[in-house]
Amino acid sequence: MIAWLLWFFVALHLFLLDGWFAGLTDHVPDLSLSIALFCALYAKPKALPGLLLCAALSRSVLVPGSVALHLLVLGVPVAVLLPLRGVFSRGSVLWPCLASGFLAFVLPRLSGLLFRLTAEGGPALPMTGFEIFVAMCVIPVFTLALRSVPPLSLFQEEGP
Amino acid sequence: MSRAGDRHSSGEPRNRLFPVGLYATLLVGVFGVTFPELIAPVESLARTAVTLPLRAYSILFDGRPALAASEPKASLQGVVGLSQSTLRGGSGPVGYSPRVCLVVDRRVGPLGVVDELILARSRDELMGCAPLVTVGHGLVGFLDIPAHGRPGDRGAQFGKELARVRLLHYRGRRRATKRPLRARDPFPVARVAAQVTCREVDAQGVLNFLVVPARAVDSWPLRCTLLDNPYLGSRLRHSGDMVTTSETDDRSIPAGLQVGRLMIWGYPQLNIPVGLFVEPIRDPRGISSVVVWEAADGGSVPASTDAKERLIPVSFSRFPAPRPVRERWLVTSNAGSTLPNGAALLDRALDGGRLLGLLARPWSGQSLVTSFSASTRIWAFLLRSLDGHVHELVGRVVGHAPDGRLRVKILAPDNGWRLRGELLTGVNGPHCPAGLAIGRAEPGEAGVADVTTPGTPRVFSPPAARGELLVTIPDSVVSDPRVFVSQRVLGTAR
Repeated sequence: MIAWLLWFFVALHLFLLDGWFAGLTDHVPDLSLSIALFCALYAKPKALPGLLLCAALSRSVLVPGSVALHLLVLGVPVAVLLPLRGVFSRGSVLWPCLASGFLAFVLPRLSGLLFRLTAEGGPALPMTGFEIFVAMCVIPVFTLALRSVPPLSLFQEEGP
Repeated sequence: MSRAGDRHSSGEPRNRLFPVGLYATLLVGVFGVTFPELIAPVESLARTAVTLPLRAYSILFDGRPALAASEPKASLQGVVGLSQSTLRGGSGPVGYSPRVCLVVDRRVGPLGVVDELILARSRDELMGCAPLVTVGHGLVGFLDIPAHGRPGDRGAQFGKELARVRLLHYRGRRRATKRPLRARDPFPVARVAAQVTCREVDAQGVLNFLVVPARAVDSWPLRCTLLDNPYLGSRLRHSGDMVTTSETDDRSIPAGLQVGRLMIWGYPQLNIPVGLFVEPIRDPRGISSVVVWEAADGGSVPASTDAKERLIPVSFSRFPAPRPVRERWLVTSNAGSTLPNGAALLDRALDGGRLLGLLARPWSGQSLVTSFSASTRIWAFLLRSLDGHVHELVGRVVGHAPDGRLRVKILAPDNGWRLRGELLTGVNGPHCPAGLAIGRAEPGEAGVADVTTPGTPRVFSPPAARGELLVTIPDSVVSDPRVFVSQRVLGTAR
């Protein structure tokens, strides 16, 4: 319960931190990618609905769009990547990088698609090839840091 | 790399890779996007809880009031200019005189485009007016009140509701079509007798036809039908000629009003035009005022009353936000009053009333605001040019120029980006009135206007992070639908 309370309030601060980074430099990738990567690769499957709901709620506070819209933006790529846990090893170095690249490519486009359909949120601002490459390098490191400390470490799936 | 075989052989549940809970959550997301109003109460409650830390920070970083209140003069000047532009060059039926009426909101029709305008006048006030509604030289639609009716004819409730203008491409709503038509009801679908002058080398003369709403698959909102000379129509090759109303037995629609530009669909260069359409001259998303025609003798529209605006003092705190927004404001009502959705957030210290942004989905006296410069919505603008004329524009903020000025892509009219002058808001919903100052516009790259706005402080700078702002709400929305900002334009107001 404490872990959930922590996540409920910490998620917002992650997005605030993301915004603060965005004010400093344009080259730091979106921290939403780290949360999505954690959910797709490392989170306990039973905790996924709660994790995504809290993340979507916090994201909707700082980024235009409803909670439902952000839930789809974060949740659909996670649902696509999740079955691949059965194929790739979690200890692999390459797999989180590839998954980060996939998320960096898909999230803005999905956001843009939902904007066109619902007129909520914002139009697509697709990442350039360089930005996707930076995300592939940086996001796995961010995710490693996130899953090393509570509250996300408490939602991590057991195993190697 | 693969360990899938090991896991399945050890009896790992399939739920691990295909969790039902996740899919159920996504279904809830789809439901929420489709029916947002159903989950809005739960969302408001959750937002109240999750923004508690932000409330705490806004109290901790409490700074001096940075902005002071003053009279919103820019608003009045812009609206008066708008009314003059709306009236200019217009002509109406004989025996009727023009009267400007502000639009307060727009309705999107079944085809996904705006096809109905809601006016700042009740139906009873406009009862007895001519059915047609114009803007300048152009015919834009018809009032949704019975022709030659009197106040109270259709019940008190019907008369008290705000009058609506059904644009020429208006399509009936499903709910409305179930009710049988009554005597003297307005036509559910407008049909306008129109004409175009053909100027082809081998096709010259006047082509008469009816203009009716187009179908969903058509590229333009109006379609030409019942051509009086199909042979002449089949030889048309060039789009763009002006379509005007033609002389008929119906005296309520004068001849010569502009309907739109003729558009030819098909293979006109091969002499095979498949369909003739009309593109309206004005984008309905940008129409902020119209002209109604009242009987010259009857005085059916009552005298104007003073305009009222309810201004709610609010505090706001700035917070950093992820790209592309970069900054989001938490607005809190000082008096604890309810904040209306879509109300304009004003900075009244600068220019007497500058738009900062629109409130989005307020909850329990709080709301989140994206600044105008980071907004993604399509805006209705007014541009007051140096010669004093006011032009209606439709546009969207697309970013910043290298020199820091805002870049606003002008979507309509096509040449609107070439104009130079003061950029004001048009009507952007019932709580965002026309005439709020935005900045100074100059022509930029093709299709884009560069707008200079007064700068705003950076995020997380405590001394300037909190200020007294005001939310403007036309009072009539709250209490009396007959009292609106528009009435300031019409004469007897302050």
